[in-house]
Amino acid sequence: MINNKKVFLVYIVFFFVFLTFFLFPKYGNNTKLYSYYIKEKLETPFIFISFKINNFYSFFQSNKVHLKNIAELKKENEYLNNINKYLETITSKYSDQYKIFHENYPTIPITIGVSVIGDRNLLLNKNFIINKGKQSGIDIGNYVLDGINVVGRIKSVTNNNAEVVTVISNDYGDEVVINNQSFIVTGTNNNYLSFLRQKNAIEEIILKKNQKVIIKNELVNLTLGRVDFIDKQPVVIAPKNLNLDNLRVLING
Amino acid sequence: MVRIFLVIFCFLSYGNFNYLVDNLLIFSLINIGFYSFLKEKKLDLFDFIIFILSTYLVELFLGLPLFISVVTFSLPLLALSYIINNFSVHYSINSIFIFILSLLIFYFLYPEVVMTLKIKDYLLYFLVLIFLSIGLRLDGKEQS
Repeated sequence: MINNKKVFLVYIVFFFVFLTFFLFPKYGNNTKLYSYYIKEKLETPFIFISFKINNFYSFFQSNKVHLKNIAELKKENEYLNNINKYLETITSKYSDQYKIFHENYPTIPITIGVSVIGDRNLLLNKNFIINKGKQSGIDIGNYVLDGINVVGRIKSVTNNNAEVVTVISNDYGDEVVINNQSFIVTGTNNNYLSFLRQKNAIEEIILKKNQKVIIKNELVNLTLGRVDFIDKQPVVIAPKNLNLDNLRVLING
Repeated sequence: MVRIFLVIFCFLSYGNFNYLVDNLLIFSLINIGFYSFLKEKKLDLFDFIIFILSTYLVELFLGLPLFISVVTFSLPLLALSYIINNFSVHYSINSIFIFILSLLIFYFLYPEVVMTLKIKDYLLYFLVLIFLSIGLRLDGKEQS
């Protein structure tokens, strides 16, 4: 049936190869290992190319997502611009009314948006660096706000950057007003500020929980936090994690 | 040449995709082996080497003793080739025969895989049957 001599010879050769591998499994195992080694080496360029293609594809996909996000943000921005225009109209009406009674326009507190560029995690100390400085009108002692509460004050300033000491830092101290009475508070490196003493007070003041702690400013009153009690001692509670994403510096207050 | 390319493709692809593709590659290698052996009554050296190569890869990937298929299957397959090639049947019958024979071998190697195959997986396996038919048809045209 085998009408090809070469095929028969090859069959005989492989028969003996099989016998060798069967009787001496070490050779068989080595052959398998070499085969897998060759497979791995041959695969390398294809895997490299597929990796590159995958990378390109994922990059392309993420680009699409970014474009979608940008489109959504544009819409949101447009909406916020409209709200801003509406608020500007209301403010101008208020200013006009104010002028009628006071013969000049009210001074509106000016804030500038800043972003954190260093020490964001507040690891070494409780200070961080922002991306604006003297050139933007920032000065030492300016308050830094997160939209609602005071986050800290400018400690030092250069032309383009400034260092902010946060309200929870040991280095922070300020005069606050609670229920029309002045107090001095200081940071503790924890998420609360402790009272140092009551300013200009003879009689003892009783503080209540959740009383608003205010920092009196020339133009606007700023909120520092609320009164709470730890081991029956009054403290000012600050947020556990300060929101450093949307900061503004009050430059004329 | 196409078969050599396919064998190399199976060799490089095995283990880089999912479980289903790996099974399909093994099945394709079995098919290539049987096809090479059974496509003509007179077995030439090139077909025999492709048979050895494809069975070697199956043994390598499944951890079987190397070259056991060449030694044990060659003589029965020669007899089978003699039988099926003496009947002048349509190439599609031949391809279905090879497909079923490969499926049987695959069943003996992986009984649980064949039993748990889903219908869409079967459809993938039938792709191999289609390529078998095309191969036999083109081969027949070449010879005539």
